[in-house]
Amino acid sequence: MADEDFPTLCDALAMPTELRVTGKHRAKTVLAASKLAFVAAVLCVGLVSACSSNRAKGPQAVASHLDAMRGAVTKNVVDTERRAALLQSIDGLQADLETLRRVDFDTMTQIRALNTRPDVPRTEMEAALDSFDQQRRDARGRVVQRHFELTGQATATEWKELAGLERKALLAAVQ
Amino acid sequence: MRRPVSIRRQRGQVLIILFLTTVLFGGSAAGLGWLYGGNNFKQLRKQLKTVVHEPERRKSLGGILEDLGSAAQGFNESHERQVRGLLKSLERHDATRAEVDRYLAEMDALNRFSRTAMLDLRYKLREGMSAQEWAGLFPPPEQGASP
Repeated sequence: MADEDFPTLCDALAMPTELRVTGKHRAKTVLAASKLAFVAAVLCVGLVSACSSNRAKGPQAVASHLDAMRGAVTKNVVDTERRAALLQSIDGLQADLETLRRVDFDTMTQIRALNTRPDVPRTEMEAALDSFDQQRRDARGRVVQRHFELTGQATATEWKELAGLERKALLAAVQ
Repeated sequence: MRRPVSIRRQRGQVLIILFLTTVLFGGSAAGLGWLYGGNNFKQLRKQLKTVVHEPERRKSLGGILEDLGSAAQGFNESHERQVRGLLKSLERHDATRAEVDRYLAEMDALNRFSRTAMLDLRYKLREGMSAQEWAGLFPPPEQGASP
């Protein structure tokens, strides 16, 4: 059967609830529905396993995404010199993201502590926030710098394999 | 009857976590989770009932909490849009440092604005409560946690 005869999953989602099936098309429609049910089942299994495999949080999640990034570098970057440089930058990124996480945590802990003081003057609160914000901007700046170090070492094609993994690591670091 | 300390502490941290989601211009997803989960904000409002007994004052303070929640949500939505833009930019190999810095500058501007608004509401809430009530709503964080 040609591909165009099969509704895609998107088509299926857009299907009206009342399907007008006539003689010649009945068998084809039943077959299509079976195939869609199978695809949906496979997708469900995939989603469940994807969710359960992403339970790791914090430093473990960051490390796991960066390990995947190292694997992608090893697999996709043939040039040994650039490969070594990229792997070194990923090590640096891991350290920078850990610093960013620690700054976030310390900031949260200290602001919570300040907030519990009923009579903490606003000026003191603002000064503390200014200081935390500056620390965070510094830590963030180092992460951004490291990102550009990576993109400078990878070709556009190689970066396509790495970008999604870096994104996951960045998100994991601020969770 | 007194509630267990750990639960009180947990509830007491909710507002400040909402507050932090906007203060931290990095915008942690964990913070957003607290915000969009909804339950914890509700718990904070319940906690207010246990520490403030006069209905009129409680109602007025509840209004400030609502404002705080709405403001935090508004800021977080804006922040989320900024983060999406920034991440898209970082995924592109040809993105320039200037382009990324523009996003970061926008985030910092939102952070400054939201910080002021949230501090205004924090101090407005504090004005309506005694020191003892404040301590009941925001007990000291538990020690020994790690990042």
